[in-house]
Amino acid sequence: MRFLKNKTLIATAVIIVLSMALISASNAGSLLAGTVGAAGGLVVPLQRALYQVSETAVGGVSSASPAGSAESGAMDYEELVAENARLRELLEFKESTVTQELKAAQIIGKEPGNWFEVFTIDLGANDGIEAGMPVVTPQGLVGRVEEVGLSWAKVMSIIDVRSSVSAIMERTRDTGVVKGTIGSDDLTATLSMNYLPLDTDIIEGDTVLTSGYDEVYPKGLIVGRVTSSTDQSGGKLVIVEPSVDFRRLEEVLVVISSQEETETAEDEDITAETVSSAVPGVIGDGMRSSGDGESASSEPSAPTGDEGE
Amino acid sequence: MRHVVLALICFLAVVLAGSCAPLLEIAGIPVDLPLLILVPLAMLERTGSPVILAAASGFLLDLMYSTVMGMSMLCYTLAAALIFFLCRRADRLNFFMVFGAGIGAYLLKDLVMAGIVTALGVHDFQLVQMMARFILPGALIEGVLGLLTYWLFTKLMRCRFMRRRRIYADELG
Repeated sequence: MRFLKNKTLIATAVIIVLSMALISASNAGSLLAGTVGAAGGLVVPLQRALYQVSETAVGGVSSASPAGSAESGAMDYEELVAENARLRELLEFKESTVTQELKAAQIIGKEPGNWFEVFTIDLGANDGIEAGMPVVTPQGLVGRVEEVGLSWAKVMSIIDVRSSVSAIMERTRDTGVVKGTIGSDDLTATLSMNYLPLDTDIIEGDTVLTSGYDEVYPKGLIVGRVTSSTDQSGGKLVIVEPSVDFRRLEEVLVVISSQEETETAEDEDITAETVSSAVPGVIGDGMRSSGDGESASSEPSAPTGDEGE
Repeated sequence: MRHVVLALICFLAVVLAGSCAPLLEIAGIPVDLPLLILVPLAMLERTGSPVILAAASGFLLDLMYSTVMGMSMLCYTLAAALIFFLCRRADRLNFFMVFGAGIGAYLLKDLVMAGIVTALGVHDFQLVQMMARFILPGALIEGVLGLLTYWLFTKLMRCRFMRRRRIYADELG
């Protein structure tokens, strides 16, 4: 029983047991882990401030020397121009998207390490953010909100190994499931599309969209483009390059509500005959009615309830 | 004062790990800042405080950035504890021991993480490719940078305010 006298050993054992309990609680989605996670909001203001400081520090290294002040000024200007362009692109996308209510958020932290792709944004429950909300950029789908605090939220990217998205090939309309992959040959994180039929016709460069079947992501968001395709026993395995550059992600848009959800709520009061109209979607191929499960046909459809008769 | 400074350094490393380290990754391989601090600390400290600091750093990292609570806490604690118990009996630490400690701690941390990821139900990852692409290069970077942080910590530990109270008392007579 000599080890009982070793306080460090006892402390280590206690911490290991505690952390294992936390992992299982977190995996089971228990209230304990949620409460502990919510406490993370206490450090968000500091995190945000430090993020801004670190951004400034990284951007302004050359300003340390007096000789580099002019160069630093030029760099600051370029940084501002780039930020302005990014924000303008977000704004244009937000204004052009009539089917979804979007809220812009800034990334204030990313999970370090090789295993998970999770980042923290500066919007939380106070801003109307809820768990499960999709996160997008003008380039395409980013992920979904996983945990929400009062002033922060953690977003799991679609390239996270735990993520799966119900997807559809834009050209062939074959459906499958897009999953995040780790340990790929490529240094850049990629996606794989599984459960596609063996006879499906895949061409390199084909666009992959969200199908909306999982009722998490709205239909028609760009997921990525096909880079390769191989036959496997369970079907084709298609490697998809995400349309979003996750390494250079700074601002994102959270989908607060989509037309599909609004229509679903309204359709409960209206008869099942109401078919979703070909509302200009995010990428312009229309959206399916999620209320009754019928897909939008190529025929001209009736307007939705809120657009008049 | 000694513990306050060490806790502050760990806290800063954790915050920077999430908010700044992605911008400072080397060839696409993220540098593990908290581990860079914890390894030399575990080698130099003679008390068990590095293990507590490792657990606290890991917990904070989980709290701020992760969706799997306890994962970093477990990995950092195990890595710090292993280095602490191995180095406690060593009379002198040489270049290779410091370099090896950095590599070993990183490997242990990532292999434990691989185990947790598997336990969470994720089986479709290629550990060999992960080792070749990320884990081994990451461990090498950790080992090299660990030499620098170890040297910095030896300098820091010599500062008057970082000395243990007993030594202060001895000096004051």
